[in-house]
Amino acid sequence: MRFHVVLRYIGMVLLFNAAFMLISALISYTNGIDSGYTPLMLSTLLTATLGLFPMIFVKSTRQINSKESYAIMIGAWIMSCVVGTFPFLMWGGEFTFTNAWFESVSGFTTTGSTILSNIEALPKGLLFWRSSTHWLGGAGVVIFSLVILPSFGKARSTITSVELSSLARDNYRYRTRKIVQIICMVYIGLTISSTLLFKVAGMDWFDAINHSFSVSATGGFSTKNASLAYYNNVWIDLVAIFFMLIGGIHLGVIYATFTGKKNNMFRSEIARYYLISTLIACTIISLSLVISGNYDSFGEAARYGFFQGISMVSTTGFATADANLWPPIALLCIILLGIQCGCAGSTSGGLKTDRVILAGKLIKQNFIKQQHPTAVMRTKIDGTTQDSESVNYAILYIVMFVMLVILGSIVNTACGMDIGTSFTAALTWTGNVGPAFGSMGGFDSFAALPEFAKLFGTLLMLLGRLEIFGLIQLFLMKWWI
Amino acid sequence: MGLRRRITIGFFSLVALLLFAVAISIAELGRLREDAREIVEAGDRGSDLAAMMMSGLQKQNSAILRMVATEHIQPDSEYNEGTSEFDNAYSEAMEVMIHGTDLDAVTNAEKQYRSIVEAYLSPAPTPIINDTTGSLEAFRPDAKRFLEEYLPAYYALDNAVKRYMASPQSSIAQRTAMVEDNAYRTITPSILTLLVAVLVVLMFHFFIDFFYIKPILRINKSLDHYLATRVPFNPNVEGNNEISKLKESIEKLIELQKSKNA
Repeated sequence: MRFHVVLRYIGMVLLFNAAFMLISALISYTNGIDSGYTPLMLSTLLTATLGLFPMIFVKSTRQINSKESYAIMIGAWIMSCVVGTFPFLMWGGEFTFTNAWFESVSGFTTTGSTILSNIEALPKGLLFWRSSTHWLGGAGVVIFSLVILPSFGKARSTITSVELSSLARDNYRYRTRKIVQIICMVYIGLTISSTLLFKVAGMDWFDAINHSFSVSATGGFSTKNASLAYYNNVWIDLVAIFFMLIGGIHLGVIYATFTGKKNNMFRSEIARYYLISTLIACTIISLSLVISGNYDSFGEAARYGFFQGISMVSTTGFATADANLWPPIALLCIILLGIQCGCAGSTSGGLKTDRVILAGKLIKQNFIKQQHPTAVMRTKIDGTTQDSESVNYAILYIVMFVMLVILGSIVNTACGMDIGTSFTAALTWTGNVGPAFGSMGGFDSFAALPEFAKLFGTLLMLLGRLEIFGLIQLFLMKWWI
Repeated sequence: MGLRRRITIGFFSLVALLLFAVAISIAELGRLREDAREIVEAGDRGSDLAAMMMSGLQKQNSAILRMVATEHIQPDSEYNEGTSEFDNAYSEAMEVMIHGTDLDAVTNAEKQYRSIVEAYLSPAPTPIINDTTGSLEAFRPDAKRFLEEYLPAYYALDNAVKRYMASPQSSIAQRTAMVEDNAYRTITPSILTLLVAVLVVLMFHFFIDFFYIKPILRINKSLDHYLATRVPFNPNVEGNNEISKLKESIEKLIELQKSKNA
C-alpha cells in the first residue's frame, strides 16, 4: 500500500473540513466576534496545515487500488472526527476531551447523540460547525472531497465504490461518475429546499440552515435544547417529517423519482417496503397514543406519533415529544423502526431496509427449501439477482450488528445504566440513530454517562457508520502489507 | 517543486507550528494572568466598596437618629454626605461585580430602606391615623412608628452590605472554577498545536525517508554492488525528482565508462 498517496487524499478531506471551519469562524465574526471565533480560526489553521502538508511532497496520482481507497475512506472519517474536536476543545465549556470526541464522532457519523446539557449556550459559529459535521458526514466526507477537488480521474470511481455499501451500489443504474454527481445534486437539493421550507414555516435563517443540515444528513443535532419541540409549530413538524422520510430513501431513487425515471420510489421494492412499513408503524403508534389517552384527537396523536416514528426510522433523532411517557406498544414500534432504519444508499444508518428484506426472503426460501429440497432458488431484490457473496455479507452484517448491540448493552449496564437505557443506547449508537430511551431520552443528553461508556459509544458509532467491516479492516495487520 | 524547496517548506511549516504554539501559549497565559488579576482586583475592590457603603450607611443612620431625636425632618449635611458616599460606592460596585447576583440582596434592602427614610423625610408627611379610634392623630411623622419600621430595614441593609463584603471569600469556589476553566482554555490550543506539530513531524519523517533517504540508500547499495561484482546497476527508484535524476546520471556515467573500456 502506498501510504503517501493515502495521506495526500486524507489531507484533501481535511482541507474540506477546514473550509467549513472557516465558514463557521466567519459566522462567529459576523455575530460580533463571539467566543467561538478564536477557537474556530485556530482550528481552521491547524486543520489546513495538516491537510496541506502531504501535498508538498506527494504528487497527484490517478491510480488507486481498493486497499488504498479503503484506507483513505477510514482514515478520512477518523481524521475528520479528530480535527472536528479542535473547535470544541478550544472553546471549553462542557467539552472535556471525551465529550468533544463524542460530539464530533456523533456529528460526523450523523448519529446526533449529544453530551451538551445546554446547547443554547454555544456561540453561533460553534453551533454551525456542529451542524456542519452532520452535513459533511451525511454524504460521506470522501465523496464530497472527490467531487469538489478536481484533480481526479480513475481515483474517483475506486473510492466511491468503497464508500457506498454493495447493496446501495446495486441500486444505481448509472456509472460511478454519474453516481457522485447524483449524490451531490440530491443532497444539496434536499439541503436547499429544506432550508427554504423551514424558513417559510417560521424559523430564522440561521436555525433553518442548521436544521436543514441536520435533516438532510438524517443527523439530529438541533440549535435548541428542546430540539424541534422548541418551536411547537405544526408546519415545521411537517417539513421535518417530509425531509426525514425522504432522507431515508436511496439518493439515486430520489433522483429517479424527481426526474421521472422508471426506477422511482413508487416502483422500487425497497423504497415501497420502507414507506409502507413506516406508515403502518406510525399509524399503530398514533392509535396507541389516542387509545392510551396521551392525546385527545387522532390528528394530534398523528402529529407526534408520525414525527417520532419517522425521526427514528430515518435515524434523524429529532424530538417533539417525550416518547418515554408513551405506551409500551408505541415504544416497541419506535425501537423496531430504529432497528430497521432507512434504505441503503441514503444517509441513514441502522440495519437498512434492504438487509431486512433480504433476510425475510431468505427465511421464506428456507421454508420452501424444506418442502422442495432440490429446488434451485435465487434471491432477487428489485428484479436483480443477489449473488451469494452479497447475501452472505448481508446476513453476516445483521449478525455482527446484533452482537455489537448486545456487547454495547453489556458495557453500558456495567457502567451503571439501567437495562432499558443500556440496550436502547447501544442500539441508537450502532444504528447511528441519536436518542435512546429511559434516562437518555429525546430531550436528554448523554453528559451523565461514565467516560468509558462515552468512548465505547463512539466506537459503536464509527463501526455502524463504516458498516462494521470497514473499520475492522483497519485493525488487521496483514491487510496493511 | 524541487527537493530543496520541499524540505525548506517542510521545516518552515514545523518551525511555524512550534512558534505558533509558543505564541498561543504566551497570548493565552497573558490572558489568564489578566483574568486572574481582574478576579483578585474585583474581590479587593468589592471589599473596599463594601466598606465605603458601610461608612455611608452609618453616617446616614446617625444623621437620621439625630433628626428623630430633635424632631427635625430636614436632612442635614451628614445625611447628604452619607447618602452620596453610599450611592457612589453602590454604583461602582454594580460596575465591578463578577456575578450578576452579587448585589441583589443589597439592592433589595437598599430599596426598602430608602422608601422608609424618604417617606419620613418627605416635605408633606402623610396624616397618621389612629388604628383603634380611626381619628387623625398627627401630621408630623411618628418617631416611634418610624423607628419600628426603620431599624429592621437598617439592619437588613447593614447585613446585606456585610454579606457583600464577605462575598469574595464565600464565592472562592466559583472564582477558583473560573480560573481553572480559563487555565484549561489556555493550555488546550497549545496542546492541540503541539499535537498537530507531532503529526507533521511524523509525516515529514515518513516523506523524507520514503522519497529521499531510501532511494539514496538503494542507489548507494546498487552502486557498491556494481563496483564489486559488475552486476547491472538498476536500483528501484521511482518518480521524477532530483534522486531519480541522480540515478539516471549514474547510469549514464556507467554507460560512458563501459564504452570507454570497450
